[in-house]
Amino acid sequence: MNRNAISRAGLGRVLTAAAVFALASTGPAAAKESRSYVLAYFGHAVASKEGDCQGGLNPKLDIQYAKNMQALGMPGAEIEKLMKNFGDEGQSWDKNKIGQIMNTRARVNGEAENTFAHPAAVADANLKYVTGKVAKGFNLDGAADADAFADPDTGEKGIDNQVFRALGCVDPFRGTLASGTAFWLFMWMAEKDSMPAWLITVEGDDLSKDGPVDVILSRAIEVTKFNANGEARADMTYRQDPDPRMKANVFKGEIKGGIVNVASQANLHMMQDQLTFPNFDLANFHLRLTSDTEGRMEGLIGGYQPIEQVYFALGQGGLAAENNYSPELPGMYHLMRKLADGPADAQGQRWSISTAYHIKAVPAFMAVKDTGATAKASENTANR
Amino acid sequence: MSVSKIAVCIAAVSFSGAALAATKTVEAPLSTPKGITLQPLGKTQGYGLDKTTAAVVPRDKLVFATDAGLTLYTSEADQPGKSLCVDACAQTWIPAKVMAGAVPVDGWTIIARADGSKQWAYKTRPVYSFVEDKDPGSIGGNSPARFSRGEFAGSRGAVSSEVPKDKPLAKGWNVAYFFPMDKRPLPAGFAIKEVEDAMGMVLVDAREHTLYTLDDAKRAKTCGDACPWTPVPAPAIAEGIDAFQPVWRDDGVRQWTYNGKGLYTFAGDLIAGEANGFGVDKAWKPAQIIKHFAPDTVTLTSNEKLGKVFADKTGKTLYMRDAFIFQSGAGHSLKRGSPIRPAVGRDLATDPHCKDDCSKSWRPFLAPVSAEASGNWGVYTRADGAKQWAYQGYALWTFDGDSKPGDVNGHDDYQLFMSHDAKTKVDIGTPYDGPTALYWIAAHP
Repeated sequence: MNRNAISRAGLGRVLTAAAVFALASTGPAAAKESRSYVLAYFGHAVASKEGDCQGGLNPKLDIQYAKNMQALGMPGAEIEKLMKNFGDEGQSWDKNKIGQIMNTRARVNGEAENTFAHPAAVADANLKYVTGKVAKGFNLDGAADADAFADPDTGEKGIDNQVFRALGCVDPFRGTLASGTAFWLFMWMAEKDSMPAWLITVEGDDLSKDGPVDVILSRAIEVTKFNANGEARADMTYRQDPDPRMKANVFKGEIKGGIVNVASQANLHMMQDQLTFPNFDLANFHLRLTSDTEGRMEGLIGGYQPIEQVYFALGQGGLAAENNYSPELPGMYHLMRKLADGPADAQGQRWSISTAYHIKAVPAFMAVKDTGATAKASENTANR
Repeated sequence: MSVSKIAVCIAAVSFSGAALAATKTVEAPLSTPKGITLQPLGKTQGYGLDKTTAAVVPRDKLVFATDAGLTLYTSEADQPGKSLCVDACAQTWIPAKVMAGAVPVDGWTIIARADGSKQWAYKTRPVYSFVEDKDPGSIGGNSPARFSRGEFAGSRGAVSSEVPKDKPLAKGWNVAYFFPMDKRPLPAGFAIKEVEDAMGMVLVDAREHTLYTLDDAKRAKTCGDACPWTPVPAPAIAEGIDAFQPVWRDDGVRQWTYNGKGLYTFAGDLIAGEANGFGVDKAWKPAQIIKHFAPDTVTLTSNEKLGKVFADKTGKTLYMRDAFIFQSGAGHSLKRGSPIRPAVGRDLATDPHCKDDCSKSWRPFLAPVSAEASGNWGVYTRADGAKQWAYQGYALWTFDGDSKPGDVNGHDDYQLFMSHDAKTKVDIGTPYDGPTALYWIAAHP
């Protein structure tokens, strides 16, 4: 077991004990310095501000459901009668008339169908979206479009984060990097103890200096190890999952001013968890991570993500999910379709949307089995 | 051998008769003869979309069933080894047929009926299916869909298999249960549990850790200082019970034996339900009381990600196609992280409902023409007439992306399904209630 000699200057100064070692021989010792980290937090990158939703936030569920029933053509008196019992239907599905109506408010060829599997067949609720000027994320297209956001901290223009724009006027999706959002705090808490951990490795000739690096994202066999306070423990050892589906996640980047940056044209493909993203794909993968004095990393990853993936994370719980955190899941789908800014297909349809995720990571040891050469990032596909 | 080395080693255990005969082992009896299957009851079949049922209801009871999965019953009116249910009775209670080539196994015998036909009997009682049962997991004509949370299963859905009270089972008829089993005399501290990874009902100790038998007693002496196999100690005053006898070893330890073989625990088993010693050393085997049937062409391989999974003869992992089920708390990537739902497997059968052409990389795990269902294994007939093995209702497949034993590169391969227009209905071959997914999952015991 080898442990790389690590400079303690520059990036290395703040990245303490972590290093990569190999269980299996991989030939002559590599000259590169490597540092690995394990994911400690994951959630949407948000920067909500007072007044950033013109006309206020989207309505609460009871108001929206009454509107939805109107859209279905139900008489006002019947809606009023049903809504008097809203929230008092109890656990019995038979008695939950509102739930039954809302669960099948899609109309496919005129037939009532499951709302959440057929969001395009639900009348657009025309939800409000973020009209504010700031958001966290990346300038994915390299343009400083007038309608793009600016970073609230750095002032960088041209920030593309249409997922934030689409979801940002719904209460559980509002927050800041410091606070997180209610949605993602719940989701992360639900999956962090059972989801195979994500690993991030930074490799370069000298991580104490500015210069080119490789940034590698992979997955562990183990889940992230947390302490009694729910914080990810540093310097734990993880076995890298040799699954070839994630071997292409090697990205060219650079360290500049102690910040690790990736501004790639390549695609990230990760596997996360059924609860949110069984597949997690980002085209034009971007990453920006800064380390603190304890060697922990924090920052953003971003790119264009398939709308299906984003919507699945929101809507796979069906009516329960809508009742928990959204006034209108199909409305959020419609917004994402309208605001999508990823590459257009041959028919001019855009099926992916710019987004950014806030991540935290702590130093970790990564045990790597020799499973062959690393594939190229270009071998990845964004829309699996 | 360290625990970590044991954990990462890749082992294959063959179920073939030839391999087992070579070890000169006294085999544990099979739980089911050819044509008799095992089925969970009620909601544990995975009917409906009440998410709190299939995911959390314990599979607390298993019944014997026909090859089609229909529950078997016994009649209190019958005599041992003799069926008195004839004529109209036999139109309602269908005698369990005996397939060609089937042979009796533990507790199962073949009896002759008055009309000369043959019928299975369990513990001397003739067994029958019920004409009103249509679905696997039924009792007395009550489909598992009726075993709903609340009305029949308790307010929290914690009991899966109570007979619905509004349609009770006919008087004088009883369900033929495989589990719970009749109590057997055991020494203090021993129990019999189903250990899935050991493929049967297995002896466990007071911690519910799997016990193993050693075929060749000489191996115990050559195991070395770091031997991971620890003799199961017998108290000095312990007395033998039937097949369980304490013996004094040369090293002064008094050890329990079962059927004349020393009993051991394995250091690599850290929690109840593990059988990590299975396949590590052919001399040591799980102390099976009853073993479940598995086809000769199926092996069990281990990998560091999922532990034991089914594989074909070459060690290629076998997979099931499953449908997404929402479960708060996640963990689906873990072994047994998603509930087995035989009803979903039967819905999909041999059609994986791929978005793209799966035939390019997923291949059916074919069964011989003579294959018949038994235990947890079933057989589907494909459109081209070929037969395909199924496990607990799920047709089995191999993945071209796996190149060596232990590879599980197709595990958790997801395809999302949702409609993007008002003309196309989502059809995944099984019920859903939101944007949904089908995925491949490594098949495991």
